[in-house]
Amino acid sequence: MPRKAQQQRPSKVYGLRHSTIPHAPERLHIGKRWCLTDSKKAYRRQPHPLFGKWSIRYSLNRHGYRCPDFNREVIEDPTRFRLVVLGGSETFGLGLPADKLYVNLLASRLEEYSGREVTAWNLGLPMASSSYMARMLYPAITELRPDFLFLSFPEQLGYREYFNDDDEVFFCAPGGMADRRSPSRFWDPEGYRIDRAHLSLESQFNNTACFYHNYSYCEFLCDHHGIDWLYSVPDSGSGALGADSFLESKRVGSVISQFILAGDTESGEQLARDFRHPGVHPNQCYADAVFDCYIAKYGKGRAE
Amino acid sequence: MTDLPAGVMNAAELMPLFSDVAIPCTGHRNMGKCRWFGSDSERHYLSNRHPLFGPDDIEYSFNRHGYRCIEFDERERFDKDHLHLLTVGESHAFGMGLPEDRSYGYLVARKLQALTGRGVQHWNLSQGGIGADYIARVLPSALAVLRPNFVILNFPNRHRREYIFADGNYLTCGDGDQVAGSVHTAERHDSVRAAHFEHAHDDSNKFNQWKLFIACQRHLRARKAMWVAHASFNIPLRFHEYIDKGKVEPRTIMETGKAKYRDQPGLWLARDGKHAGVGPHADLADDTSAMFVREYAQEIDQLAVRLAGESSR
Repeated sequence: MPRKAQQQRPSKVYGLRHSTIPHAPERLHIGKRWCLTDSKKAYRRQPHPLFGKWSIRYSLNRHGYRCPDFNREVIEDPTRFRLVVLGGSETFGLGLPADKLYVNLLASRLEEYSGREVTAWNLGLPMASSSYMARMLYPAITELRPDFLFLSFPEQLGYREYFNDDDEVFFCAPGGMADRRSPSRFWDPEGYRIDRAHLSLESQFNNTACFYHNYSYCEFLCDHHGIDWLYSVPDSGSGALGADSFLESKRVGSVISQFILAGDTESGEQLARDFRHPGVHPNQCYADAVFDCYIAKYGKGRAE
Repeated sequence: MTDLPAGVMNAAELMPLFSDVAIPCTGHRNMGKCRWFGSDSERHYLSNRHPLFGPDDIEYSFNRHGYRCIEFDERERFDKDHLHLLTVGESHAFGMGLPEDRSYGYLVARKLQALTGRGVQHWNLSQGGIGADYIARVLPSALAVLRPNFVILNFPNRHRREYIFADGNYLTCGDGDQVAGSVHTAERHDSVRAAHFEHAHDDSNKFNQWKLFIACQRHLRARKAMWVAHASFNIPLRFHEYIDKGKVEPRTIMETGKAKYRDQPGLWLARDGKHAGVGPHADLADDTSAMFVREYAQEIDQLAVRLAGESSR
């Protein structure tokens, strides 16, 4: 499409021009029982001790997220506590049933603590990047009006999102990953080209710069709206008052993969069904860590 | 281009990103002084002579890091009552085709000097052909190292995106053939431009620009610097609440004096015939210093009182 025409046509990329919650990218191909690295083929090769073929169901809402629908009644109900979580595949819960996922465990703990009904909106998606989180943040804050917002920045900084002329969203994974999937040159030539371009431009510098800009943007927006929010990031940056400082008071001290116990391979509790993502135990510990941090920072806060 | 950057960079010169003790080098580091630079070429001058500036009237003087200002080590030698103005922007702010003392950043520094009664050092960290990514990358380090009292940001058009390679070099690609950066090989230009256009999306570029602008605001607020910005983009209504609109001038320098200098090409254009000349720079300097006074009258008064108290002690 000519550049001028591209600039003048109305955009369909929700989250960039529109305030509504955008639909999850249709290109992600999230199945009902299998999704990306959590594949049937991988399961046959290496069955999981805890989860069988039928143990996991990826139930998505109308917008394509693994959470309840974004109902207007729920958003406007003052008696409810609204929890919104943005993140990557760990937040989506790849290879885990929904009830073992840290987002829902955190919601249960908040419910128990506050005595209020908690609605947990999980906007995490597999292969999501910090750019995705930055794009989603404005509609998430203004449309869902969270009482508590948690940003779980992906631990790998190399993920990116791109758009094509038809405003489709492409998620690209960092190069050099063991389980990286490239789009087929024949079945998806456009995805293939975008992925190749992504790999040719990828570098540690770009990843760091992109992540830090997205983090700074998210911090500014959350503080501007005065909401209760916390975040977790992998260890990067000085952490002090340097040029790359993070807001330590809102930071959860650990990321989810730190809770994976290296020696425990027998029980199946450490890793999810795809043997790549965190399992039951790390999710439980992470939910506890986020909850403790929330209580320490905000007390009962809006839960009161 | 007559003067290409002195050579490719290595990763150690660029790293660490967002350092609070060092400002990253540019491709023009160790370049010293030159008479012709970038689009301000001798070849262009010989075919299009400038009414005001001759071949010897302009000198581009770069510090060791490749910026058109004095060495960053000098910052520590200034007295406490000396003030500092930082400019980060594109080629107009760099002063392409103009002597340094006719660029608007320098003129604003002189106006602030007259206003406060203190010496004002101008740190010009602008570069030709850069995008918002460059500004957001350099600004945190510049704020930490130079500790400026005043900051001017000059945002270029949204299509420019910066890519940093694993070896520490960087390139900025625009919407046309324009490529600027620290490494100039046809092979790398072609591969980066191809990938850049594969990812080019107008909404994505716009969002990137707003996002980086807001990120810059976050850094400026954290450092409590007095700042204004020149940005040619239209910020969508829903983002207005995040932006200190009084501090943003939504026009480009070339838009300001087109009618005024129609009959005075010597004032209208710089020696390269592409960038703003002496007239628009002087006008923009007036507008910018007026913005500082309007937005920070109280802070400037307090600063003057505090410095007067410190110097009397």
